[in-house]
Amino acid sequence: MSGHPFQSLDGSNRVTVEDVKRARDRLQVRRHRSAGRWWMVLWLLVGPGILVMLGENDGPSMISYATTGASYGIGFFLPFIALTFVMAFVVQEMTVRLGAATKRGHAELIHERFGRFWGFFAMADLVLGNLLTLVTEFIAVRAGLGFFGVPPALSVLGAFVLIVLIVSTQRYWTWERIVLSFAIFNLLFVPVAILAHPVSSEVVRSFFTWGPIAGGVTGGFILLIMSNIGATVTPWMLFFQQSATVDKGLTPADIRHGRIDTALGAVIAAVAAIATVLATTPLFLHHIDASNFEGADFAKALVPYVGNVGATLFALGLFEAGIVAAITISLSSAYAFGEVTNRPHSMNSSLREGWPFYAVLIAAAGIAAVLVLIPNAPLVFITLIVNVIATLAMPPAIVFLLLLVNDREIMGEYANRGLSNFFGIAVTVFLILAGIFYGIVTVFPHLLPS
Amino acid sequence: MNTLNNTAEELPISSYTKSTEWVHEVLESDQLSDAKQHYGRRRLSRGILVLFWGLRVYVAVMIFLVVLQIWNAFHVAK
Repeated sequence: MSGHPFQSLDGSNRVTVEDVKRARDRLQVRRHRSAGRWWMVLWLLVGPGILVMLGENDGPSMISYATTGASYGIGFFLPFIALTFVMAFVVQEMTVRLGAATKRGHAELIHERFGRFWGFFAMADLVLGNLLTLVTEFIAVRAGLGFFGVPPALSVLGAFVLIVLIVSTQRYWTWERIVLSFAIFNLLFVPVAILAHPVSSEVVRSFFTWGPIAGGVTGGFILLIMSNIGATVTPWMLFFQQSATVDKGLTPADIRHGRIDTALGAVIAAVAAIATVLATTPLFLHHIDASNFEGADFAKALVPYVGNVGATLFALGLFEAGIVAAITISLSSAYAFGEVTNRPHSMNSSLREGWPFYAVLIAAAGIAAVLVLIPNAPLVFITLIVNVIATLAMPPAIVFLLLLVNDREIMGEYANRGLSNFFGIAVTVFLILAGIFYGIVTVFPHLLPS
Repeated sequence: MNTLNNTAEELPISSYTKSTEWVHEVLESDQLSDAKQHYGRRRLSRGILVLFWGLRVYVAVMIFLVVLQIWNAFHVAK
């Protein structure tokens, strides 16, 4: 399995290039922790939580938030979106504990504890769903850069080349810091929201009253709620954060920082999401029908209300949302593949050691990029089915998460206890039911009231 | 002399041929990529077995719904 083993002095366990790089990172943590430099320890340990939350603010999600603002304005959805990120935190925190306590990725644990069938099902289900989701991310990249007149081929291929370059660092720490520096631009929607001049008192009131609901409770309103809940946590998030936690080398001593990292990510992502809703409220106030808008259409439609600067920032934010999600989602596929097939699966692996891992990562992004560029490719078709697949695939993934985090044989003292189980199970059941309901009404839309 | 720190900071990875003791000291045993022991299959209680059968049924229904949605989406996209 190892391409460059280093023999320890006493001939015991071989140490690979991956181990040496991870040990270097852990040494920094140990040094700063011993010196009491808590701010440096926090700096070193944040990453997976922020990336997974900001990665979930992907292209389709930001367009969904923009549609929400354009359709419902300031009201119910502001506190509702905040609540969805609280639920996301509850779920994702469990993946931090799982990864830190067991030192194994999500797919790896499913495979080891529940057998080959469920391990391969989890991996195949994830890889297929991710491939379709990656297509929508490259569509967002294309839409974002299309606002600036960048030809589709150039924007999509450029994004793909960027992904390959970042991956080629063969260093988890470097990869993580580069992607974090991209991900923070998810906050570009905040200045757009400010330029939209929302009425502050209405924003504050909506958080207390959970209203108003423009147009009342209709089938469209219910569908939007279900799709938002169903999209709160998607399967790739579970696999990515747990595997990244392991790849980063977190141990039980770091669980507290992992929680802080996840909470920070949830707060930043919630702020960006709510800002996106506020940014498009001028469209609601001016009765602009945005129901058929795609990414760049929002930026163009906002020019009269937020100016060219605001529209530019919106388009850049869309590009960021697509590219960061493309990077993290393709990595989650590679992690799952490596874990289930028992091959090296680390961003610290050398190319020689981990070539299957890197091949899957690049292939996942590459196939999606090619699909977007094929003339007359069925992109509408893919967009229509990807949400259904993601929400229907969630229940098995989240059931396994709960089973694993309650497995005392592997989790020991870090297993779920009373209160964490109460919230974990409550959120899980809620997400499962919402996901199933959304999947069913998407396939059978006549079940909803008009 | 702090061999642990010197080894980590001053030598490039390709020079780590003389000693890897510091890696063993820094990483926990199951963090080493070659040293992981498999946990083994979990013994499933009756409740979990029932849950897994429910999951199998769910997966079958899920596949049916996805195929149906693909069929619907195909006609919409045409």
